Amino acid sequence: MQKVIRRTALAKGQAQRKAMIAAKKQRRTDYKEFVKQQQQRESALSQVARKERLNRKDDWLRGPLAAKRDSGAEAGNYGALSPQLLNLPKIPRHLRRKYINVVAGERVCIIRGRNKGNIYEVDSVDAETETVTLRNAIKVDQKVPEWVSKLYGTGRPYYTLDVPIPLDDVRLVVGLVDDTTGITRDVLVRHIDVGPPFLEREVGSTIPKHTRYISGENIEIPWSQPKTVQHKDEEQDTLRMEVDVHSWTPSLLSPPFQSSILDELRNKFSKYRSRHDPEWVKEKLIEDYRQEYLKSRTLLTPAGELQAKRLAEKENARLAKLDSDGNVIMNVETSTFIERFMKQTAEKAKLGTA
Amino acid sequence: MAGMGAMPPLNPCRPLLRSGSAYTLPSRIPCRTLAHSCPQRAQADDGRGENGNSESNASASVLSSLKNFMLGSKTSKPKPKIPRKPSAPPSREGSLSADSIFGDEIPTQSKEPSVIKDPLEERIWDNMQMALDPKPRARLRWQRKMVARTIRKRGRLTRTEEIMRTERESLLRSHFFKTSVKKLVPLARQIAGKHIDEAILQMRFSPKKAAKDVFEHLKHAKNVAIVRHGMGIDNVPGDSDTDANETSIPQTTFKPTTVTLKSGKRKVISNPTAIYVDQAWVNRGPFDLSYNQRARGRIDTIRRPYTGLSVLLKEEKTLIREWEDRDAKALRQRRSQLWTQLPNRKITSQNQYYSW
Repeated sequence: MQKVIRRTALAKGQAQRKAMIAAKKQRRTDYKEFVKQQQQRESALSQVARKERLNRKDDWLRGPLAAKRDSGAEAGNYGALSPQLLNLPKIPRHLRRKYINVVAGERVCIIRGRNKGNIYEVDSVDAETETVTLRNAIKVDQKVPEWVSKLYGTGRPYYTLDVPIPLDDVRLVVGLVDDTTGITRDVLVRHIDVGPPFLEREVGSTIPKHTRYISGENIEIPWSQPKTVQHKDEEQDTLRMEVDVHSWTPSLLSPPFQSSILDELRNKFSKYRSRHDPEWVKEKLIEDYRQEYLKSRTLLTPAGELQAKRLAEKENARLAKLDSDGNVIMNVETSTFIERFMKQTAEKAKLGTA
Repeated sequence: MAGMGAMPPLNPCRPLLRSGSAYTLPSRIPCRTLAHSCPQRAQADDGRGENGNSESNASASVLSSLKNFMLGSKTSKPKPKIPRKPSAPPSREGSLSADSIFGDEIPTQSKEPSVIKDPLEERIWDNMQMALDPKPRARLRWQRKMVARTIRKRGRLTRTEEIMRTERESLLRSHFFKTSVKKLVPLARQIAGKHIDEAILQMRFSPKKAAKDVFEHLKHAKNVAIVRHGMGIDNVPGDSDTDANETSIPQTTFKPTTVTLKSGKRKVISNPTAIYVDQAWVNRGPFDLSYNQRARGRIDTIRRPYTGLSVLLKEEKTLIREWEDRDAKALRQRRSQLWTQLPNRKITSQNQYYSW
């Protein structure tokens, strides 16, 4: 049984180590991929800027003879960006910020770039790219292939969509009431602290669990509640109340159930298995005892038995000569001899000195 | 339209007029506006064919260039042509689905004049700014600089700027063809200096493999030159104000001019807006690598080259101007070298004492 336990423990440890290494590798791969995508996007953006710069100069120099750039392949979608510029790369999970302090419906102020200083309402928050889109605000035309425009029936080689704004480029706008004057004033919050209480939200709610505070002020910023749409129940609708009734509990997640079911649910011969059939455990224990017995017994011939007996006697005789401390007991003859000898030497010494 | 990112009507520069040329330069060169563009108008006019200038459009075709080539281009007296008017539409029986391959490619002509609506008019300006004006502050700084420069120079243009504002040109770089510089250079040299249609014709019948790519590229370059740069269209209407006639160079008033090229050859220019290949050069591209298995276990690498072609197309009025410039320069030089008995010279080495 000990062998089985040790084997399982080893397999578990190995698997954990393997998983850890794989996860580390995956994180590294994700990060590299993210950086690559970011660089590609940056270089594509700089190409757009470069093209614009060259065109601008050319147009200035040519004046009335400036080229008609909205022609040829770009005739329909001139001034539209390629989709890769607008799809921001997904940030690897381990690099994402832990808490996002903006939810849809709140107001933010853009602090960088083209629309710096403008305040907009947040339409959606994307945690994977750490961006927000703003309602009725910044839009851009994106090139779409012909089949897509046919699919949607727009007939246009471009598609207008909201520009994703990085969370770093926006700042939350909070209405604060001045205690002395009682006037509400909009404030851009530079730093937000995250703290308790961490609350469970309703199922499907987009509000985070944490609570946010203005740094250094200890003023809580309440989450704006999403607008709830009131649906009217019709006759053919199934009511929420009926759906939510807890009518059945799956019993396979926890015993009691037949032990054979567990074998179907989990691999009976897994190397990580730690629970076993009691019969099998019993068998294993009996096997252990048996092994112990087999180890303990000796098989000897009569000559061997005699030799063993002699050896045992010899050993007993040797042990009989030892005292309780394990030292050999001196026999009388030897001790008297030593005594006599020491006496004689002492007498000789006396005579010599006298 | 082109400089949408730039400030729309800001054109403080006024080109200087040169007199004595075979054609008159426009006294005022208008800026192109958003809703107005020459090529589209030209296309629309072409459909109507009632301007009396339909021959000028036809003159740029392959056939006419062939004819010119064979018969020595006697277009000094343009034949009066009766504009072809569309008769009754051909009667049709039965019907085919719209996407049937047996149907005619050309749809039935509508009687209304085909006015092409600019797709830009439907677009929203703000939604295009991320592409057309990616760095607004940098653009503004640059424009400020350029305006300041223009004011400082009091609107005077350099010779290069003047030429850029009055003569159309189109530079187009091809993708990389699967050929070598060594094989493409002769083709580039072959087409350089030729009329575009002539160059296309030559590439069409050239037995060289790379000529096929060059042929396609030239056709594309011609299209780009016509559509994007408004080249090859002789009667270009300007803005619809009073001096609209001055901005156009009607072919009927143009007298065929014989110019001497830089090579010494003579050339009769009957259409000042005919497109020719001014320069053609090759661009060395990347290489593919492949392997050549040799004896004794050795491997050689084979570099399989890619090469691109750039063509600079210009209108033949440029040839006239260059010829005039050369002529004037030569005259100047001759005049300066003219022997006179007692030329006016600066007195130098005047000294009180003799210095030898």
